[in-house]
Amino acid sequence: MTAARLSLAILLGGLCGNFALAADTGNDSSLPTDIQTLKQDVLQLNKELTVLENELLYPSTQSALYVSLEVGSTVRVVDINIALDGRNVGYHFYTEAEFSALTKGGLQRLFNGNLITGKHEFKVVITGYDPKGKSFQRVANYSFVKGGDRKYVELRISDDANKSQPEFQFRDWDVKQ
Amino acid sequence: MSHAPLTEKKKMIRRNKLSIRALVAAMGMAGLMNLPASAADDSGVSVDADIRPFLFGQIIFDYYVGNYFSSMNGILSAKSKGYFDDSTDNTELLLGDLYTQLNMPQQAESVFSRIIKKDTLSTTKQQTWLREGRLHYNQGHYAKAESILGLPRDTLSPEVDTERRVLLSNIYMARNDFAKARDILQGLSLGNKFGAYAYYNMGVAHLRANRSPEGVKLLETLVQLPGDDPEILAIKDRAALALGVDFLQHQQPEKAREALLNIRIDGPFSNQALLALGYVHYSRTDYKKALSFWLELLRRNPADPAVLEAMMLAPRAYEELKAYPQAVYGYRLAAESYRKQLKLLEKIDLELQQDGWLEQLGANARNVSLDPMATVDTISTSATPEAAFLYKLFASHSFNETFKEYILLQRLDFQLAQQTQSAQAFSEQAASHQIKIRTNLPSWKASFSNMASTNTSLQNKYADIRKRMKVDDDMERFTDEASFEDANRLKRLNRLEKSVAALPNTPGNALLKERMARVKGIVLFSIANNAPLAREQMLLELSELDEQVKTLQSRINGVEQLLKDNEKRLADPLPTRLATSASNLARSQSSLLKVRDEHAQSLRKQASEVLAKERTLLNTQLAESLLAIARLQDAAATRELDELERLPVPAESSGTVSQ
Repeated sequence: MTAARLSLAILLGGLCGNFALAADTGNDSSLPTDIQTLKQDVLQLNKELTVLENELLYPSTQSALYVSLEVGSTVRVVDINIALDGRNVGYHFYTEAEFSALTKGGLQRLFNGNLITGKHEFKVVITGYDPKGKSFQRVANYSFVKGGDRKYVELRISDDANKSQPEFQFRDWDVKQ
Repeated sequence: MSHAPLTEKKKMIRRNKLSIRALVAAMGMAGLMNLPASAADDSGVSVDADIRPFLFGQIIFDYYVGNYFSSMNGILSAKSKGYFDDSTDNTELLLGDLYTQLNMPQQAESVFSRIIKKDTLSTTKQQTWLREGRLHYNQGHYAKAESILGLPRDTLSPEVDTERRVLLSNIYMARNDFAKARDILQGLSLGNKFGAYAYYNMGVAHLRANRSPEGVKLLETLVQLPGDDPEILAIKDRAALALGVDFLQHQQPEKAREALLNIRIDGPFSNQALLALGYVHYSRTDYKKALSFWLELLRRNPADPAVLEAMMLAPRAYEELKAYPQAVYGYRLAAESYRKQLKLLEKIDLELQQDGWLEQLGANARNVSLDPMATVDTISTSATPEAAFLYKLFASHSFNETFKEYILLQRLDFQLAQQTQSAQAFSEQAASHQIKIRTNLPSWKASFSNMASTNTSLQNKYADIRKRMKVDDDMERFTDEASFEDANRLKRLNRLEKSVAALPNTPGNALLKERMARVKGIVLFSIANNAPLAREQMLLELSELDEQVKTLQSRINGVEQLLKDNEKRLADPLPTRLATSASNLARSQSSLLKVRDEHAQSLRKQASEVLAKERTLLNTQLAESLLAIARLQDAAATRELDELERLPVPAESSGTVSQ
C-alpha cells in the first residue's frame, strides 16, 4: 500500500473506506502461475467428468423436467412437489436467491432421469403466492410420450392476462442425440 | 411463448443497473426465443428442439444463485460438446466474468479481447470493454486500465459511462492528479452508489490536497443525499465524519459539530463520531460536555481504537475540571483496560498460529454452499474476539483477496476429493457394465432382430388394413365388413354355389340353383345391412390400434438406440479413462493442498503483523496512562507540599514541651 493511495480518512484516524481503495491490490494480487495452471486443470477435469457422467448416466433415455418463470411475473413460488407416473420424484423449496434466478430467466432442472419409451405423466403440486399476495396451492398434470430421443419438459409459470392468477403451461421437446 | 420484443429487452437492459447480469438475462431470453417456431407455440406438442436454450437457462440459473463453479462447468462442458463456441457472445461474456470471479485474469482477458474484436452487439461490446478495464484496474494495472477506459467509444449507456468515469477518477486520484479526476467526474449523477462513491473519493482527495472549500462542497452535497439505501447511508456517514474532522482541524468546532450530528448513532461510524464530538467540545473548553461523549464511548467495546483513545481523554477532561481523584481513577481504569487488551492480543496471537483459526474465520464460507465459487461473506468476523483488532485487516483488499483464494482452494480440495471418489466408483461401475454388455449384447441383438421383424410385419399388416379401409369407403366391398359368422356362412355358400353350378342342367338342378341364389341373397343382404355398424366398430378398433402401433414403433426405435449406445460404450475405453481421471484428480489435489498451505501462512503472517502494530500502540497507551497517573500523583504531592508550605509557620517555641 503506497502512501499516495491513502485517503484522508486514514490520515484522520482510520475513517477510510474500502471502496476508496478498491484498486489497492498493487502487484501482490497476481497469483503464481502454478495456481493458474492448477485452476485450469481442475476446470478441465471437472468438465471432462461432467461430460462423461452425462454420457454414462443419461443415454438416449434421459428425460428432464425444467421449471421457468415468465420474466416480469409477480407470482412467488414457495415450493414444488413432483410426481412421475404416480411416484414422488422430487421436492424443492425455493430460497430467495433461487427464486430470483428464475425471475431473471434461469431454467431450473427439477427432475432428471431415465425413462422407458411410452406414455408418462408428471403431476406437479405448486405452492406459492399469487400476484395479489394470496397463498395458493395448485396441481398441474401433464402427459407425454417418451420416444427414442431425449425428452425435455418445461413447466412455465406466469400470470394470467389480468395479472391476478398464476398460470402453468407445459411444453415438451424431443431432443436429438 | 410470450416474450417481449427485442427492443423492449434493450430498454430493460438500460433500466437495470449495470453490468453483465441484466445483459445475460436478456440474452438468455433472446436465446430461448430462438427455439423452433413450432416449439414456441403453446400447443404442448412434441418437436425436435435445440438443446442450447436449456443449457443456457441452467447456466444462468446457477450464475444468479451464486453457484459460479457449476455455471462455469456448465459452459465449459457445453462448449466441449459443441453446443456453444467462442462466437457465442452471451456464454462467452459470462465465461469472462466467471474467470474474473475465479481470479484467472489471463483467461478472462483472452475471452474479453476475443469478444471485443468481433463484430458484435454494441451493448455486448460496451459491457465487455468495461469488464476488461475493470479487470486491469482491480489488478492494479492502472496504465492498461486507463488505456482501455480512456479511449473514446460510441455512445455509452449511462450505467457503463458512470462506472467508467468512476474507475478513471480513482486511477487519477491514485496518481494525485486531482484536476483530471475532477474533470472526469464533472456532471456525474449522484443518483446511484457509484456516483456517490466517486464524489466521496473526490471530496476526500480535495481535503487531502489542502483544498478544503472544494472538498467540503462535495461532501456536503453527499450528506444531503436523500434515500435509505444502506450503502448510500454509509457513504453519507463517512462524508459527515470526514467533514467533521476537517472542520475540527481548521478550528471550526461549530461547523464540525453540525456535520458530526448527521452521523447515525447506530451506524458503523458512531464511535468515531462520539470521539470527534468530544474533541469539538473540548476545543471549546466545554469539558463537561466533552466528558459526556467520551464516557459514553467507555461503555462500548474496549478493543475499538476510538474507545481506547477515549479512555485516555476522559480522565484528561476530569483533569481540566480539576477533578483529580476521578482523573487518577480514569487513568488507572485505562491502564487496566490496556493490560487486558494486551493479554487478549497475546491469546489471539497464539490462536492465530493454530490450524483451526482460518477454518473458524471461514465458517460462513463452509456452511453456505458446496459450490467452490459460491458467493459468501468470506470472513465471519462478528463473533470472533480478534475482529476488533483485525477488522481493518479483514476489510483490506489484499487480505480479503488472499482469504477468498484460500477458501476457494479449500472448497476445490473438497470438490476434488469427492470427484476422485466418484471417478473411482464410476470406473468400477463402467467396468462391470462393460462385462455385462459384452456377455449379453449378442442375445440382446438377436432378440431385438426378431422383435424388429415382427414389428415390421405388424406395421405392414396395419398399413394394409388401413389401405383396405380406405378402399372400402364406397361400400363396394361391403362383404369385407361381414362378421366372422356371416363371412364363414358366405364362404360355405360360395363353395356350394360352385358345386351346384357344376351339376348338369336339369329342372331339379335349376330349382336347386335358384334356391342357392336366394339363400346367398339373404346372407348378402344381412351382411350389407350390418355393414355400417360393423364398419363403425372396426374404425373404433383401428383408432385404438393406431396409438398402439405407433407406440410400438417408437419403442422399437428407442431400444435400437439403446443397443447402439451400449455398442458404443463397449468400444469406449471408459474404465481406463475414468481411472486416469481419478489419478489426475489425486495429483491435482496434492498440488492444491500445497498452494493452500502457502496461502494460510501468508494470511497468518499478515494478521501477526497487524497484531504486532496493535501491541505497540497498546503499550504506548499503557505507558502514557501510567505516566499520567505518576504525573497526577506528583502534582498532588506538590500541591500537598505547597499547601504545607503555605500553612503559617508555627511560632518558635523554646523547644520545650508543654507539660
